Amino acid sequence: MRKEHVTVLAIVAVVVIGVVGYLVLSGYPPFAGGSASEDVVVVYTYESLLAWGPDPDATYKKVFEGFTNATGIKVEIRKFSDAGEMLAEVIRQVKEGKVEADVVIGIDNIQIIKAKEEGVLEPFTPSNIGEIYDWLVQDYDPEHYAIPYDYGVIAFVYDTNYVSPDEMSNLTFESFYGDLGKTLVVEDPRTSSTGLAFLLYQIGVYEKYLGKDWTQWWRDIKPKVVKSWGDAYDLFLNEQYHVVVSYGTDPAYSYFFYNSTRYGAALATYNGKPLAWLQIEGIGIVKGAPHRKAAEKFVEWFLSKEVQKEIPLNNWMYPANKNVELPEAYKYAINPLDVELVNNRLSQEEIEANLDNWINEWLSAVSG
Amino acid sequence: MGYEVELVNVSKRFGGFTALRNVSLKVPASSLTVVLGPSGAGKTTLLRIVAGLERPDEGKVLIEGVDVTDEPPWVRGAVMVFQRPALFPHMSAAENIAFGLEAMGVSKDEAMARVRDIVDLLRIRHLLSKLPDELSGGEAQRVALARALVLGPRILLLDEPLSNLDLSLREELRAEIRRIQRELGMTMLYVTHDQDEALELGDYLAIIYGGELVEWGDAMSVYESPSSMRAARVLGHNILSPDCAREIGVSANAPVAVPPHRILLIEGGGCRVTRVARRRSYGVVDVACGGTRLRVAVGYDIIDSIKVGDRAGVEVRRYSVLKRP
Amino acid sequence: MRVRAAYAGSVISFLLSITLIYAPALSGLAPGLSLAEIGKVLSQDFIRRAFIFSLTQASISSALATLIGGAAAVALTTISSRAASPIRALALLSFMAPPMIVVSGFTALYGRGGILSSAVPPLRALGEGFGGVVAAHVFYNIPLAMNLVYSTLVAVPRELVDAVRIYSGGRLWPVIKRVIIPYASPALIASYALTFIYCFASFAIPLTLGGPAYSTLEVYIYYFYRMLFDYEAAAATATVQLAVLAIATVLFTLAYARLPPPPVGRRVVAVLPGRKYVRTVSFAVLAVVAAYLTLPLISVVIKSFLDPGNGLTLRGYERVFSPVFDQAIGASGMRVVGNTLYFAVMTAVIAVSAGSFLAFIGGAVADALLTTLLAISPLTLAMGLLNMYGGFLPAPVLIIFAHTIAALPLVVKSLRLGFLRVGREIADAARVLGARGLFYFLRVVAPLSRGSYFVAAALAVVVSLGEFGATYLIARPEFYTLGIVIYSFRGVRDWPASYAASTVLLAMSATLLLLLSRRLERWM
Repeated sequence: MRKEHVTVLAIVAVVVIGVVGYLVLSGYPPFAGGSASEDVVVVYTYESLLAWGPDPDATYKKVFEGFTNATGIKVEIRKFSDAGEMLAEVIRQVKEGKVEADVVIGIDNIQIIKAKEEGVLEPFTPSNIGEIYDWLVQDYDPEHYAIPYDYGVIAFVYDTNYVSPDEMSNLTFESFYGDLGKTLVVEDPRTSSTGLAFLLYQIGVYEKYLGKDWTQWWRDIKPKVVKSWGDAYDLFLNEQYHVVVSYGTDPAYSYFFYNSTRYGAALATYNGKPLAWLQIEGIGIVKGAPHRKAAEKFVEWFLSKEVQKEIPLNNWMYPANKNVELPEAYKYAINPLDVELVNNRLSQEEIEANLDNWINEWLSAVSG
Repeated sequence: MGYEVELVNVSKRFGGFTALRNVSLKVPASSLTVVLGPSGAGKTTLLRIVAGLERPDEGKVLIEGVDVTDEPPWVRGAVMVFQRPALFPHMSAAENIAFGLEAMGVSKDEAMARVRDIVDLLRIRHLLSKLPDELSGGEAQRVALARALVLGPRILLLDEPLSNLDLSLREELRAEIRRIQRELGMTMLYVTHDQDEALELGDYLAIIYGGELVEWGDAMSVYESPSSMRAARVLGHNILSPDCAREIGVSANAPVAVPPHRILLIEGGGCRVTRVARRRSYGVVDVACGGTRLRVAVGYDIIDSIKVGDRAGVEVRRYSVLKRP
Repeated sequence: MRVRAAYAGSVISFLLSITLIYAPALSGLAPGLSLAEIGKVLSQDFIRRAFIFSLTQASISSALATLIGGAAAVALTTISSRAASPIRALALLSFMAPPMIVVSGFTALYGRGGILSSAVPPLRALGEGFGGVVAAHVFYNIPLAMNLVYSTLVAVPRELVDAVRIYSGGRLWPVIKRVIIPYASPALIASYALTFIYCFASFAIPLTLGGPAYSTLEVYIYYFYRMLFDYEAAAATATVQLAVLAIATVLFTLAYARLPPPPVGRRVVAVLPGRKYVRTVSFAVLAVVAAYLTLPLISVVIKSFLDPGNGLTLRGYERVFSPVFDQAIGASGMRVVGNTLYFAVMTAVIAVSAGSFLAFIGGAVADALLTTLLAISPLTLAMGLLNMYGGFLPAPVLIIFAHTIAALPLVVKSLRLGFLRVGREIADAARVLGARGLFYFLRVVAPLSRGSYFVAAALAVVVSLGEFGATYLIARPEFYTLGIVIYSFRGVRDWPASYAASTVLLAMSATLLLLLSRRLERWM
């Protein structure tokens, strides 16, 4: 009868929706766009990569479409709110045996330890490695699991409308006891490479210079902690917080864009000597990358002078390629070569051995 | 033809409440037995146990001599009609009636034919396309009856099916039920607390009181001569101790039951009229004869000439000795 | 004999399906079920602090929600049921609103540059940190308390209220003491316990509004599992969490069993004397509660059209509905919308089918059993699913599985209420007429409880739309749902897109709930 027809139709409809929906969603070939051929490369990075120039869209085109124009390989980009999140996703893919990413951009000199430990990268020596500063490669990863593409120091960036340069001139971590600490925003070291670099900077200074318990500072100051560098910088630019953990190149940025020195950068000092943490960011190929050949070409392209010359004014870091000339604004930046690097007292081995503990202790300190 | 139904030592408790206590009863095939009793006596429980809706805690249910105590309703050949029609509200009358056939897997054509037969028997053809909401109480109960009858049950169980209907409808349907039982010859168990129904319908009368079967037998003899005190009370008979009975000329060595309609009221005598009341079709006169109080049923022609305080005499035409409590 | 076999068959299939539901729910805990593992996580200072934070915020949130919701329920009885109806519908919307929408709402209203907090800076406390977590939890659970208490108050016999009022000479306190407290107390306890369960295992809200300083155990389960890949620690944390949730679940079950059956078409009795000041206070309470429940949602909608600092925009919606691969998601926005709808439809179909089987066969037992699923947090469930089936079942299947299990308790509850309305008379009539098993179900029970099927399906859809934790743990970008991309867009601070995704999701839930608000009201 009619009623039965309706029931049968309904069941058929549900089954069809279920099956077709499933096929579409699970990427059954006739419906899926992707392919395993080498005409595409899947790049993972953090959202703010090359996003800070005068014309981010143009830079973006120059870098990524430029690669497609030169090689015929399409670039598929996936952006994460921070490099820590990106690394976690790549580790997950490798662990689950479903690798989708080919290239990761933004693994820093601490995360590289974890990335190697988890075995998510495949060593690759690009043909143009000679153009990269050798000391950077040696500091970062002599085994070429990833290759540095830029570097810079972590610094306290402050808004001179609220914080006087005098106050910041002879800065120490202890200076944040009091009002300054209430206006400090830092990144979560679990999700943000900037945050992790800052944590090691602070630990290095306390443990290796001051010889004090580093966790006490976090317990006492309890700075505002946010997920990513972007979130932190947002709060800073919105004038909610006036000191942000960022990079020594930020004053150059301020000068370049606003021709102003409104934003200053300061380092913690020890006996009047500025101490800094050098962050090196690298690009690497994921183990089991579906498009290995295309990935290699992309890495070489990214390290080439063509792309590297965009780094200073778009990523606001020092380019790793020694053939790139620095723009004039960089006279306001903190040059990593002019300051004492805390990195030198904190070996990779020591970091590797203690990192998990440090993060746990940090969590305990900030959640108190 | 109908099936014989037998209950053997059936007991049923709900929590701390005993609904039936050790009831044994044999209902002859193709008879109409009325189960009479005050509310809460266990009548409905008895019916539900026969239907298979409840399982007795003790005892057995036999149908045609076969133990069906643990069998589900649908294998017993018994169908039940409830106090309220309980029609499926989402189905038309026709669908309601055909429901049981559908459940048995009877073919559509055969089902339609059988539905047609039964609606003709009950004269409800015009209701077939209506929804339960659109039916009056009497119509709904007829449809419910048709829904049961269409299955050709060997046993039909009716639980006060007419109690929610008004008087004239009740009488009309009562006659209908009797007619159908005669025509189809199934065994019928009919629960009611209405003595009119019991007398009009019953071949047999079973009286239940406090969960016990206190009287059972041919309807007229149970009504006229109960042998149990509780049955007599349910029936509304005068119950007299041997001493009191003697005052009105009945000698017995046990209490007696005197049906009000078996006492003749005569003018003048040793009794005094204490109350005069009119009922539908007959009158009730209470008289006090010395220490004995009696209720007498009289015709309307007599009642007009009687008033409270009159002197009267009584003549007992029929009584039964109450051998059991 | 055939009857026995059929009976045994249904019992066995019932037990099998219960196993199918519980095995994954519990297998998530397996890797952490050793004293050593539990000891290890508990030796971490931050886990102990998270435990204390979970406990504190849940206690405070539940107390506030129960108190405010209870007061609102009493106030609701002073107005006509017609006037109460939109408030209850609204409350339902905020109760069923996906957690990420609530997060969006609180950020939009009280957060940085929020609509209210810009004007009244102290309100910032409700937009983040401890205050934010508690405020959002209270938002979520006021409706729960309100509806539970309201439905017990409408069951108060009118004569009792009249009698107490006459003998107390119109004073307020005797009414509260003799009527409201005794009648409402099981509902108050039940809603406290249920709210506690939701808050204790809350994930999306502390993840976004709390930050590392205010993380629940559930957030750390995610952290261990997805960021450190320490499955043992994640499971051990989940076990610790389960212990607390189990206690609260028992408390809830006990209190819930003491609630009167849901009233059907009952006239509302004003339990408070009809004095003017009572009405004024009631009105004020309701106005404040209504504002508290609506404003965040309205702000989400408004902010979805606002480009920070640049006037009006539809950019957010363009991004949500874009067919182009979105770099912040890892899939196109359009696809995410498709995923969301697909999961919701499949969840509704499966949860309602499985739910009617369970409710029909299992009745009160199924209902009670499934209630205990409350003690299994979404992430625990997701870990279990990945643990048991991750190796061979694809992600979309796991997600639908997770959504189905999350929806089942509600689905079974509402279906069972529908089945109960069939009534004993009809059930007996069907039985003596020979209807049984599937025939009885299809021909009598299902059509007569049609209404509750709509309700159950709608609830399943709403649960699926709102599910965040389990989906986030299981899904890869190509299977993300709107709830997750709200978070993704938030991560890259594309506020218009984040609010637009919230608005789209809100519109989906709201449409369903409003369509069914009359039926749902009866159900709650």
